[in-house]
Amino acid sequence: MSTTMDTAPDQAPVGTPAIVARDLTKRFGDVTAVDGLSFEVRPGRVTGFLGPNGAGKSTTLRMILGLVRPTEGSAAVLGIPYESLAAPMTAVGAVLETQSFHPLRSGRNHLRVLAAAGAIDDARVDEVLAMVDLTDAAGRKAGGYSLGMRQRLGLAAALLGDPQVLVLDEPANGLDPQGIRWLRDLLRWFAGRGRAVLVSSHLLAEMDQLADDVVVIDRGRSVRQGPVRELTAASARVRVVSPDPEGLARVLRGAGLSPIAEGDAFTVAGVDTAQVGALALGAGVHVSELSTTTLTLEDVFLELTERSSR
Amino acid sequence: MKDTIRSEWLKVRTTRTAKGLLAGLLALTALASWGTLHETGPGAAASVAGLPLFLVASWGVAVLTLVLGIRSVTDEVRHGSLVPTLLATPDRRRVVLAKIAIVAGTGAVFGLAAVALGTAFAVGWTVAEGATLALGGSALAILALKMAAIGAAWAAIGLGVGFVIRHQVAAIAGALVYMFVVEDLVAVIARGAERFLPGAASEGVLGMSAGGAVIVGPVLGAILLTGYAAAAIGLGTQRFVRGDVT
Repeated sequence: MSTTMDTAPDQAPVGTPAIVARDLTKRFGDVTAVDGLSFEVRPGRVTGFLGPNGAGKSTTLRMILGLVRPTEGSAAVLGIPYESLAAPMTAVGAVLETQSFHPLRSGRNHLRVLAAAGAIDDARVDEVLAMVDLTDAAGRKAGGYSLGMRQRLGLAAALLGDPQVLVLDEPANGLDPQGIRWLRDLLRWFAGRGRAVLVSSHLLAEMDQLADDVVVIDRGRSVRQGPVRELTAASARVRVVSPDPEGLARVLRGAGLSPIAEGDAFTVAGVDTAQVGALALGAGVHVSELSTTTLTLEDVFLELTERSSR
Repeated sequence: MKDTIRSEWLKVRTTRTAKGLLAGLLALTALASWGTLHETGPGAAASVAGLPLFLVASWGVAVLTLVLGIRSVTDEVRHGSLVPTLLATPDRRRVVLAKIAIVAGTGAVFGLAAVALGTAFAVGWTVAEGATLALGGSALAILALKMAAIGAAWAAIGLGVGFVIRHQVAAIAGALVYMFVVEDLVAVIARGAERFLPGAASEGVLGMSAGGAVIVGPVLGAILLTGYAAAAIGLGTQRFVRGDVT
């Protein structure tokens, strides 16, 4: 894969995060869309950017990409504000909207227009069209493309500069299951080359499979961020069943825990199975089932956003 | 900068907007040529460059290049292509400069095309009618220059309007209402003042007016028209550079 460019690509010092957001705040009149949001996106990782509708995800992505001016705070890509990047297309590829092309322009010409702006050789246009499987439709007017084809055209545009970072806003919208798998493989391949992906999505099961890290926001504020596995592991619960539920509950509460009754079982957070087993054994309470339930990203997300809205 | 200009040029070449507007201008010029020559002949014109058909053609150049300029911005807003444009070229002033270069250049071509077609009609009519009408080489060259300048200026005004009013229908409708209603209203309300407005200044540049209306001279007309274009671009740039793209 090669691109031909006149401008030297922006190089970040080793160890520099791909994206840094620091205290980003955006107010539209009286409405605070993003409120003091800070996070980092690391190279070689796929970072999921999650939040309910209206949480401020799109506004945040636009602030990172210089489309929306922050009221306060700052953002940098490869250590440089987006507006100051010498060769932005080699630094970042982004898809923010399903339709971002003139409907009467062919898919190939849409990419040629962008390639020209980035001093990228036209040969690269055909490469990315092949990557997203749009070669056969490249000569057709883009307005006649299906939703999935539009998404793939957007991805082709994002990949034109062979960028170091991908920023994608709901890229799976409109893709069929095969398309979603293709997208997942593409993003994993991209991150596998040491590059960074920041992707917002409401498809939490998909993000559970795809993302290495997540940033969860609600009402413009960060409610949790970190590696997905740590997040779900930290939210793991011990499930315990006893023929003496009252005795078991008493023991657990006595240990400062907060057991939650779920049918004939209790779930307990903040301990592992060995600790619960030892407590029950020490109190002489029989236990008939003891296991760990790992929460999905969706469970964690719903819990976090519900807690945040209380 | 040359990459951004090349990208803007590709935008113009790869859609039908400019081609459609040019076709409209040529049709209008052909109609004006046929109509005025058929009705009044050469009139008092000493050479081809003085034919009234070029006054009608200049109105067409003004209106259609104004729309061209507006659409070069509002098409991008309407179809969402402004986002990838700014992702590829985050320096918004550079985007404005590239658009000015391409849109004003295309506007100038519109002016030249109108002169070329009008001249062809005039020569054809002269030959067909056996009339004597001088081609007037230098006068024709000056006319071509003036029409190119009118096309470039109105395209730049349109660009500025597009940056200020990004809603396509509102921008085009507002511009047309101004062109066809507001200047005439000013002429009724404050007679004489209208000659300083863009439409009349455009006629001043050309040195022709409808019904003997009072117009400014070509130099003042050119200064006024350039000033209006600069003001529109200045206002539009200020709004575009500072505004959020949501």
